[in-house]
Amino acid sequence: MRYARESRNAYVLILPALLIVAMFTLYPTIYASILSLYDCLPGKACVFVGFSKYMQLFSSGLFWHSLKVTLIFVFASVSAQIIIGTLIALLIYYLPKGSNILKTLLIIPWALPGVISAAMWRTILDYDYGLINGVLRALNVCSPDEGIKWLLDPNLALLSLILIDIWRLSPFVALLVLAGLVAIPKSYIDAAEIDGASTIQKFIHIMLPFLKPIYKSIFIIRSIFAFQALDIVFVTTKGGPGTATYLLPYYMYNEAFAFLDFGGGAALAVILALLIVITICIFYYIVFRTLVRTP
Amino acid sequence: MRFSGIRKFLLYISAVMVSIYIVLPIYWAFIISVKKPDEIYSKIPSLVPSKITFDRYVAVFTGNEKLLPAGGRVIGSATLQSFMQGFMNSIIVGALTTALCLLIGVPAAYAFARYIFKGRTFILSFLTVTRFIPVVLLVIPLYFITLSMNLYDNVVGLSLVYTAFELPIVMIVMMAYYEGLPRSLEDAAILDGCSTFDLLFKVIVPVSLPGMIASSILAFIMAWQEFIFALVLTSSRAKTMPIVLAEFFGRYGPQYDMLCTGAILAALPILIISACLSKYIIKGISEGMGRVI
Repeated sequence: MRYARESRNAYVLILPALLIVAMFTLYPTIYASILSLYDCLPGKACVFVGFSKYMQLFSSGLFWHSLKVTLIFVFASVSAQIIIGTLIALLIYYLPKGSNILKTLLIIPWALPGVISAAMWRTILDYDYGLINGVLRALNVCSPDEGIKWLLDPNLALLSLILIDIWRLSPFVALLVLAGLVAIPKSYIDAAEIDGASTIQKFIHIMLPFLKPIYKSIFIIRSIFAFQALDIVFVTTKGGPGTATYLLPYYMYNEAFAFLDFGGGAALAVILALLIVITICIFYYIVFRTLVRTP
Repeated sequence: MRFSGIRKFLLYISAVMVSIYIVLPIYWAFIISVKKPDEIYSKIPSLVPSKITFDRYVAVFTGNEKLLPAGGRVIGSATLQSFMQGFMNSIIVGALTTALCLLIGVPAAYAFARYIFKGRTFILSFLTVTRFIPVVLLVIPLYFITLSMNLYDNVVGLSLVYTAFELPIVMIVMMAYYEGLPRSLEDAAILDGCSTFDLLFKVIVPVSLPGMIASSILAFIMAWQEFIFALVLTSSRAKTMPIVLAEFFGRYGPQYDMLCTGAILAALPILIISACLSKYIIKGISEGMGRVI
């Protein structure tokens, strides 16, 4: 009864949140979709051009290249993060002592701004003065004038970005998986142990079914944000060498704010958003059902 | 579970390796920021600096480029001042975002956790889904919207955008907290004739302090690290630390001594928060992010 009488108060409490979210997320979403149908150049009035911005993109080689690079980046880094994150989570789960220190360390890569992590990694991967090449030279693996061209070689630049992203977010995945592991009733794991299950068998048959919902959220959260990786590109490769790491968000940023084609940038943003939705749907309905079965 | 000696040993070795992997980039950036220039720009850089200097940090805090170690590349005092300005802006935006998130998010979360009303599920799913709208989709329109509202290149404007984006996380963490809170305290307050707003601010807020700490840390960290909005919605006065560093890199290229000094400065608050409040952050991550879907 109390709830029915006071439901008016509930609306008052929610209203500010609703207003600010609608103003800064719902309205811009609609705005972007409409803007992508216009040709807006600086100093001129916007002209309605229908889907021609999209057509322009679909007929450009750069767009398809950028799409390919983005998909490789997202799938490689998200799947590596899930695998490495799970391994770290299992390590902490079984670690007899010191797990709290490790958990605290795991927070750091996720909490650091992406630009900062990328800048730090840039100094490690640098060709001339980087840590990795320095170690290789000190160990005489290569001569002082040689080294691995992490960020300069078109074939390695994308891999370098993926490595940075793996460092940043595998620990975050580990924290989520660990929260799932801890929530599994001990009796299940003990029972499996008494039956003589190996560590791998225990993981596949006991833990994995419990972790299924967590893996779903991880995949969704991680792919949404991996598709938007812009900061690490900005302080490492800037899309290069050539267009080897020209990820879609960087492409969008350049279209809108370097070439001032806001309509084209908005069209790219809409495509990127749809791409995220499609990826999640495919994952949800096909991949997840076949890979992980509920017992 | 019991482990034999050798397996225990392997576990500890892996734990140490994971720790080194996580700490290495931060350690490397830190020693670059305190090394002498000739030790940084060397084909075989030293793993442990032979001489440590904090002059670069002093130069940033005082804005005096003459204090920079000799032999490094030339950097103007304007650049040093921009580091300090970015740092202060990041703190202001972080604090403002956190305050707004709590002020708006706590009452809303309470309403969702305790009241049944028409449209509850719909409004709640709307608010949750917005967290997943890609930032890249919002950023071009928000550029025009903030321009037209006089909020462009403005710390308040940036904080408002962050608040809208982080409210869902703050609300979810707070709701999880309220669901674990017994109702008897509120029922007693209502019987005593407490109004809804008195109830909220005099009874609920004090007892939900741990939940509020967890969600405000999350809000602060996310405001501190955000890049895309800050990049597009600021140009000079309101630039945050990540943008200052990205621009520094854009202008000077691999000028590692100052890049690392800036990176360590920007990392410092995060390192301190992580070390002191890790329990709350882990709680926030597992209850907020893990429960979103």
